[in-house]
Amino acid sequence: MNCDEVRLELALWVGNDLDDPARIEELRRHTSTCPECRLRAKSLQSSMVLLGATDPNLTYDRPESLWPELNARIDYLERHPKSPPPYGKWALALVCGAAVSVGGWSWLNRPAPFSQPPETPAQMTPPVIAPSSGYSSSSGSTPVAP
Amino acid sequence: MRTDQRRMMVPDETIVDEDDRAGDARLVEETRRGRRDSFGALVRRYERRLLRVIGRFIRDPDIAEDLAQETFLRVYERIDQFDPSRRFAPWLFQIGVNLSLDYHRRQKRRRRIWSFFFTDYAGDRSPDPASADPKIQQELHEEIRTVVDQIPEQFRTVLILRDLEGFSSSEIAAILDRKEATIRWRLAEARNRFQEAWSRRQPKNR
Repeated sequence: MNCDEVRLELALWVGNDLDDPARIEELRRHTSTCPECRLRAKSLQSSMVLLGATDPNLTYDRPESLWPELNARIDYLERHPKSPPPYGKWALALVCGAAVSVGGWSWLNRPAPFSQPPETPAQMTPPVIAPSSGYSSSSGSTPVAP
Repeated sequence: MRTDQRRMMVPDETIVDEDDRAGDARLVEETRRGRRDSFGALVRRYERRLLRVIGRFIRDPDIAEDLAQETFLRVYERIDQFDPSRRFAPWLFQIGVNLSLDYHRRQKRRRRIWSFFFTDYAGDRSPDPASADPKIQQELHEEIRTVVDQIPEQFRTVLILRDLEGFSSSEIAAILDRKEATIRWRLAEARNRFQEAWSRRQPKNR
């Protein structure tokens, strides 16, 4: 058991929050031989005593019970129940759902960028070969050297 | 202010013993069936302890009392949702502690915003007539409380519930809805942090 391992358990030990007797024995043996951990245990103990001393002056109580006032409030709340917001959460969910659906539908059906209408075979134009001097087009489309 | 009504209290040992537990279950059941006076009995049974616990997180007694009332109102409104196989007291304190922590967080956030604009803003720390009296003991208690307030919330909550209010680790686990091992680790860490913060503070003041 080294000092780092001891650090957390020491804080539990000084407050009697450690149940395992074997562990307690180990801590006891360690602190009896390690001056730093012994000092730490002492400091922890003192600080816990200090904490315990805060008890009396910082707690307060009211002599009368809260119940009469609470009872009156419950009476009032039962006579005037809070009206739920119109349509409640479901309406909000429906509106959000509809918005998402409309958005999704428009996105799926959006016009493709730079799209052209599909060409029909009748509309297809044959490749145009530019007439040139020096090349004969009589033997087909393959240019022939003069 | 209701501070003049303060008086000392003796801390209870545990939240509730077995007889009380059986009594709680009966009172909860009767409340569910519409018997308001049974809920009144539950309020009377736990109000002092709840006020004390809330008072550990909230300094202003008026606010603490309002939060205690709000806790009971929420319990009353949600009594049908309460699982009868669970104990009533941890459920009640869970609601109370959560409300107090929420309030504390909001207050802290507001204080931070105000201090951003007005550097000398002192927040809600209105002078308490009891602490205005310059008694050494009172000053010491205030100092301890200031050090406790500096500990991060997750550790501070466990420290307050265990070392100031005397709840057991299993009770705290039920109140905070965490595993007992987590609570023990946080408790150890909280005690170490308090001790370190206190010893850092001492040479400056003493």
